[in-house]
Amino acid sequence: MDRRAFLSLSGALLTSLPLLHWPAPARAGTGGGTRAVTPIPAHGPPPETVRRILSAGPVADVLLVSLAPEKLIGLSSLDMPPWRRKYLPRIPRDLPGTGRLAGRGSTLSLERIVALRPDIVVDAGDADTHFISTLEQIAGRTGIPCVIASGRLPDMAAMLRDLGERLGVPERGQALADFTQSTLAHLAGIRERSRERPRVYLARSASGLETALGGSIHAEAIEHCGAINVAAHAGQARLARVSMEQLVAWAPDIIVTQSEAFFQAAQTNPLFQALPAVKQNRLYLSPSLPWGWLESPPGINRLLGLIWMTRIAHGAEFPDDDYTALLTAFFRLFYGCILTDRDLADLNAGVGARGHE
Amino acid sequence: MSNRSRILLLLGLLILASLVSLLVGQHDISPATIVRSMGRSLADLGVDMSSGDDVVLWKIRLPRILAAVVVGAALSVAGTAYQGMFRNPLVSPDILGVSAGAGLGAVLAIYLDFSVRVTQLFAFSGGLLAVTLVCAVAWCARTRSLILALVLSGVAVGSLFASGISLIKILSDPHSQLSSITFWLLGGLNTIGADDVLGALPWITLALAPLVLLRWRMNLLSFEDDEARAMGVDVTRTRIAFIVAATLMTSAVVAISGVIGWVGLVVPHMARFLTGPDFRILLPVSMLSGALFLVVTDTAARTVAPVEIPLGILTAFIGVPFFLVLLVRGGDRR
Repeated sequence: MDRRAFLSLSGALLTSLPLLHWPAPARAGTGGGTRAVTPIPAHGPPPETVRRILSAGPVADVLLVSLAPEKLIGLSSLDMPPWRRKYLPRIPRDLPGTGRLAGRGSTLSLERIVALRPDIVVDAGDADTHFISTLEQIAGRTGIPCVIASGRLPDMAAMLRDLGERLGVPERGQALADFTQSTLAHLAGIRERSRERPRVYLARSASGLETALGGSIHAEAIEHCGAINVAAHAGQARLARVSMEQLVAWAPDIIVTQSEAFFQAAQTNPLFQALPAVKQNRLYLSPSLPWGWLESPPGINRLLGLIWMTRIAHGAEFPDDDYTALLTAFFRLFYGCILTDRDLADLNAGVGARGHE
Repeated sequence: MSNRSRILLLLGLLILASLVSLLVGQHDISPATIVRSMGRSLADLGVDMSSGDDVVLWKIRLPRILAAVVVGAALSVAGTAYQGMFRNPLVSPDILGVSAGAGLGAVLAIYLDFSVRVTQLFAFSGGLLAVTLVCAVAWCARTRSLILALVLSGVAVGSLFASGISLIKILSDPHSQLSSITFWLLGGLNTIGADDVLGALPWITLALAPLVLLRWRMNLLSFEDDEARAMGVDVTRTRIAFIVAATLMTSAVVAISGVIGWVGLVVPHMARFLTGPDFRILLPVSMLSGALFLVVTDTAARTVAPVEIPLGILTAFIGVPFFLVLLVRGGDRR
């Protein structure tokens, strides 16, 4: 092959690289055959021997604080600010921050894992091949069994029940699972009674021009509350940036965000002020304590986000009392925190006149 | 083709590309509406904020095209200046650590949950800080060659700041902040409004002035330092003026657009293939080509898919093959 032919060939190869709609790898969590809990190795330790549990990431933190706080030997979050700790009375004061284990950027060394002497390591997320093989490697090298809990909302009840049994806390697992199941059924009832199918945009980051596409775990609370994610058909399940022009073209009925910085900026930005959703006071800042309600981390905390989103999307069918009763019950059962009316106000749990200040 | 007609041709292409870019976008506006809206605003210089079409056209699409013109032009000019100054065609505007410094500033601001405006400010200061540090180290270094000292300390400080970025990535919340950080580091014009462009423009103009005024001296810098000195040029002072100007320009641009790679490296080459190394002609040609390149790329970034394609990726995909072809087919060996 002479130089020119080689060049034109490599040029053609380079330019024909498909830039867009890169097929996302199949996810175990979205297709059929979902497993709520994946133990590694397959048999796992006997439940009665599990006394020390290590959390591998923020999603597992939320899960374990709710399910087995007394067995927790470390939280992955390196620091727990007091305003967050206030809603988590079950967490011991001196619980160390151990760092993240797998996934993007590990800050926890294998040696430290062994030194902490956990009976089991719990992580959460979509159990894809890469994730499973990472934990297999860790379990193989340290001899400590691991378990992956599914992070998806529809798997949540089954996951809590199964994991509760494996961690030797079957009653708690059962109680949390029952609450989850009845809440999901209750919200589904509200959704069916309501005829509303609002079109919702999730504004992420301080600019508000980052969003979650359809099927992304970050948009799950929106998609499960009977609303339509305006970015659902823009691509595969992932996060993406969008242009202001695209947002104008989508013209969502409702905008929700978890970014305080964006919420403040949108109050003065004329472009956002011109959007119909903002004009009609339908820009909502989601509560973010003790963890984010809509996402970050995308764990069982999003059941709160689902309750909150259902209230926003189907307010007429979801009376105030009913709404606060569900929130209070979640906080008591999952976080061990008795919410007062004052707390509810502090959490910004209301969805009334939060569109404009 | 004379140099004047080359410049006019590029200017014509830039205007044509901008007009085409104004016609396309996610929000459907018919060309007739655009022409009518243009006529109306030319007549009374007012924009009807109640009409969705007008808002999209004048407040979103036009500022973004202007941003592409300004960012593309500034990055290319800065790249041309750096390449001339270092007498090295492989140099890009981030050789002295501007991008890494700006990146660290922006990433830190995202990590601390600051607003977009504060993020821009952090990025701008970060870029300037990194280059100041590099120049200070080079000034104190005990090497005979200032250029060598600059390049070495630029590489070192650049990787130090890049490690800082990695550290913050590790510490940041993987479910919210990390994606914002990644998007910022890939660059994009989707968040830019008219106010951002207006904020960066004074700095860019300020930086452009010495480059334009001293453009003939740049040709002298391509000689050996001793020869240039013999011709009466204060080599060190000229070089510092160019560094300050090009850095200021890059920092102002990176602060509003994020890191857009390849423009500052590839476009000066394209310009040099068009006109040769005479900096007096190279400067305007490079500026126009950069603007044209980014207007075209950004139009693709915002129209090809409903979601944005990060500009940094697109400039590489378009710029690199082009660059490789130029590298093999054109140049000195002919």
